[in-house]
Amino acid sequence: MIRTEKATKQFGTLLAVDHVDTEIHEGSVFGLIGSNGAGKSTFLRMLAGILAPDEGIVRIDEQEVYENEEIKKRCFYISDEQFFFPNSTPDDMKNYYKTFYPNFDEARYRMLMDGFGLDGNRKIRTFSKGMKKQVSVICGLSACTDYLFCDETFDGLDPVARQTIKGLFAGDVADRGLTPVIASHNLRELEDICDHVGLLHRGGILFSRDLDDMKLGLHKVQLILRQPPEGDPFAGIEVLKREQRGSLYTITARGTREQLEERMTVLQPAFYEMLPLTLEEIFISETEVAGYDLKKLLL
Amino acid sequence: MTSKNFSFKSLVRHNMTSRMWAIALSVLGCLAGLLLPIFAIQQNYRVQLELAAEPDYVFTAADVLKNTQNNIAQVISFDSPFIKLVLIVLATLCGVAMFRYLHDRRQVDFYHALPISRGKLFAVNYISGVLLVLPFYLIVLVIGLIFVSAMGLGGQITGALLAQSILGNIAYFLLNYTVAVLCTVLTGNTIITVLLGIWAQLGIPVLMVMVQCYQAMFYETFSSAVPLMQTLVLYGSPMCNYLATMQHSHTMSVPLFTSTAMDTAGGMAILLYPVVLTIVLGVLSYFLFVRRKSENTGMAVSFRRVKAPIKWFMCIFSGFAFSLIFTAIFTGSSGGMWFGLVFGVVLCHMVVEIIYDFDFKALLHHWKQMIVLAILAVVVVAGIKNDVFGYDSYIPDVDDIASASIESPYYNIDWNYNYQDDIKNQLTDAESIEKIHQLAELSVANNGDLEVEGSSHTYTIYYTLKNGNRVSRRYSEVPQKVIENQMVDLVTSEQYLKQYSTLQTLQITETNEEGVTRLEVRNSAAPEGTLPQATLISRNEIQEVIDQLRADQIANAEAHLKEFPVMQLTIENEWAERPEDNRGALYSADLMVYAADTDTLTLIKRLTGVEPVELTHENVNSVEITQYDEQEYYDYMNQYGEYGQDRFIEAHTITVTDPATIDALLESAITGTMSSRSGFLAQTASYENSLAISAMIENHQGNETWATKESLFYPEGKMPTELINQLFNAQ
Repeated sequence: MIRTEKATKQFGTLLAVDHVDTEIHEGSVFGLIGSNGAGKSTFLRMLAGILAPDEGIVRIDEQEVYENEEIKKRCFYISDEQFFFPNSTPDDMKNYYKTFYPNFDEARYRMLMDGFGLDGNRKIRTFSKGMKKQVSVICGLSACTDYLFCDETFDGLDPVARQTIKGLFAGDVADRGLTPVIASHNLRELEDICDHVGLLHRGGILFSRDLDDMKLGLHKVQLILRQPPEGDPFAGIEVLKREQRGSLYTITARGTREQLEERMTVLQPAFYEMLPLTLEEIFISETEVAGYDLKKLLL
Repeated sequence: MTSKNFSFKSLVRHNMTSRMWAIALSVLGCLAGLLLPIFAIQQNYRVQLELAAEPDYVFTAADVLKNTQNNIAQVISFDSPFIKLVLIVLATLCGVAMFRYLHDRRQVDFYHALPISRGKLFAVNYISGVLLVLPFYLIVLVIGLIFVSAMGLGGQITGALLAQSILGNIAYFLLNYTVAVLCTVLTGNTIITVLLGIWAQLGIPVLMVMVQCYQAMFYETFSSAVPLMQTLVLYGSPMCNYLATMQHSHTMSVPLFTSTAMDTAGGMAILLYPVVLTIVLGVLSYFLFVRRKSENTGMAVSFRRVKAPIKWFMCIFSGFAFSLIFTAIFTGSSGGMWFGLVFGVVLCHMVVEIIYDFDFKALLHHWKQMIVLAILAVVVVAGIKNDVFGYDSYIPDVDDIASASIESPYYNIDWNYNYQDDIKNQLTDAESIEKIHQLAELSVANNGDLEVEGSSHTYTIYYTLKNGNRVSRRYSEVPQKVIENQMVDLVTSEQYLKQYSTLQTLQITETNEEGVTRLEVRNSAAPEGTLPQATLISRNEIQEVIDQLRADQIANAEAHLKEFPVMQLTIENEWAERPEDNRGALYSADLMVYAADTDTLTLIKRLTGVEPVELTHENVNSVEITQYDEQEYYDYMNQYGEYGQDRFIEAHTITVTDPATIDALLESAITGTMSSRSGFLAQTASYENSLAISAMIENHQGNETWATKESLFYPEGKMPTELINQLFNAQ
């Protein structure tokens, strides 16, 4: 388990990560979202042991990460700006990583390279941006570490590669309990893979929730009332967002499906429909409740 | 499993294979620094051998071989500047290359995310950098030695020489490499690394030179040959020290080993400097590397706390430099000096702040520090200027002095000059040290005292302290009357004479069949330019004369100072092997005999029959006297030009041939040769009215007669002025 307590990192006068408390459980896929400059990369670099926290603690399985070789052998960091040795090939990089990662699975590396159609002996400098990303991910997955820290990893990947990699992550999570921590500024990227999400803003974490819990507790309902209501038709339920166009209402409300359906029975609308919420909508709702405008935070 | 997997060797190997350019550069550099000079010498050897086959060529084949072997040994030895320069460049390049990743965020993230501790990463990189150069240096050296041996040119290469060369070069390579590593770790940008590297190598020596300039400007007693400062200059920079340290002590540099000292612990002790400094800087680099924050990549200086001290030092340095430059531009103007000082500090502060922030807007950041630094620089220079540290009045405590000497162009026991600033030549006995100390006290009290009548003198006192420090002070205006007695007391003491007198320190070699060692004997009637009156070639006889004269010099030291000599002995002596090149050299010295040295004169008379003679009409054919009024001379010259000079002199010269008049003129006269080699207190009269007197002296030997013209001098108050005037009036 990854645990941070009041983890803080300051660059000169800039407070990049500000007293962040979070827990990431083994086998979960943690999405770290936030706008540019929110502190995602810095937080991830702290988790990877590159940066030492100025204050607080960053621990994996109750051990400090910074300068801890044994813990770092269980972590692999994929940077948003990957580094490859000059004139090196993917096989060169693989051989180098093998020196450090004891569980490096060469057979898997071969399989993934073949699967992605990458030539292990071709100079990496001749690869496209997306192919370089793929090489990094392949090395990261082949290292067979317990934790994988991905910084904007899906950026620059084509949709097929993106889905493939998500599938690989999901497979590793299911098969061997991999814990990926994925930082991104794009909510849609994380929607179909993360089961836990933390929102960083100006170095501080606004909230950190389980995605299923959030989805279960929030619903979007579209309904047409037969006649104008007297008083608030949704009194008794916690409406986070309400839109009205004539007799058509669209609300985002907190509560179980059963609670909302019960309310619809009372209202007897001409039509009602329970719509699925996107991750973005969930975040917008949650952050608005917290007094923030997510659109401003992420755009 | 994990610790087994981490392979130090494979990481080092990877580091090396990914830097093939450095290996190629190492091989090429070592080839250029070692093999190329060897090939050039070998080519020259072949040419010289062909020339040696010619009958009238100055060198024989054996000479050519020996010279070539010497040259090859020089290239292989620690003295070779070629390989030193190559190793300095390679050390700097590899030091920066191995740690330059610290200046790139992508690489820092890559390396620091890997499961390897900073300490191990440092060790891997440090060792990789060393292995990029040293094995190839040794391989090329071995190839060179094989080639040299195969050509038969390695005769002068000994095991000791090789050991000196290899150990010295490796030690200094590691030192310069570590300096480069330290600079790279300290900075977050490669351009700043280069600037810091230049600064680290040249900053302290240049600062020392500037401090010397200030001392020369402000201190009356400043002595430029202060060995401590020279030591600081050399030892203040690894690169300067490396280039200046030599195996042989005949150069002006710091000797690493003398030709015989390598086998002794003392010779090897000099290696302590690079070894100790490498360890200290290496540990510091390791400590800083481990403590270095990854996020400091890209910054000018990676450690916030060292930013300010570096800036302070650079600002003071810059202030000193600009102050001296402005003083030179405005030819010694103190206004220029003060303006330059403040300007230098301010300019440097602004530049450093811009570099630190990589932002021109940072020009006036920390402006309060800038003002404080400018004030501090002014205070320091004002302090030096006003001698608040008591430089001019400083005299070491007599109990702290291990040895001392005085270098004076006037108070010298003989006209042959000894190197009294050389530590090996200093006086070590307590009595002499006490005398020198008393002289120093007198000098401090009276330096520049213009109220005392008479001439004043300039001399330098050198001290070597018991703690190894060396100090010197130069007193430039000390009245002679004040120090005369102490000076005479010192320079006539037995210890002083035995240390500095040419006569006492002379070494006589065995006379060979060619009579290389010989002693020529002359009295006043046989001046230089004529045949000597006698020549001794027997070693025993020469030694007997020298020993007697030595005893007489100590017994009659005061007479040697105050009198004119009556006889001149010239010894030509084959010097034994010179330490620097094992070759002999001809050494010639004039030894003067005085009337007080009766035992020596008796011995010379017994061995050669020669005794002192007075100058009379019997050995002087004629006396020429030239006397003229200077104004008349200049008027004449203006009128007739330089072609009229001979005619003017001729018109104002009389030639005396009358025996009685010659005898009267020669009654107290001394020849120029004897006068120039007289004791320093033996004063001759000053000529007035452009008077010049010379004698045509005849020297008879067997059937041969030699005549030479010698200038005549007179002891003070003994010049026959009246007679000279009468002679001119009669004309």
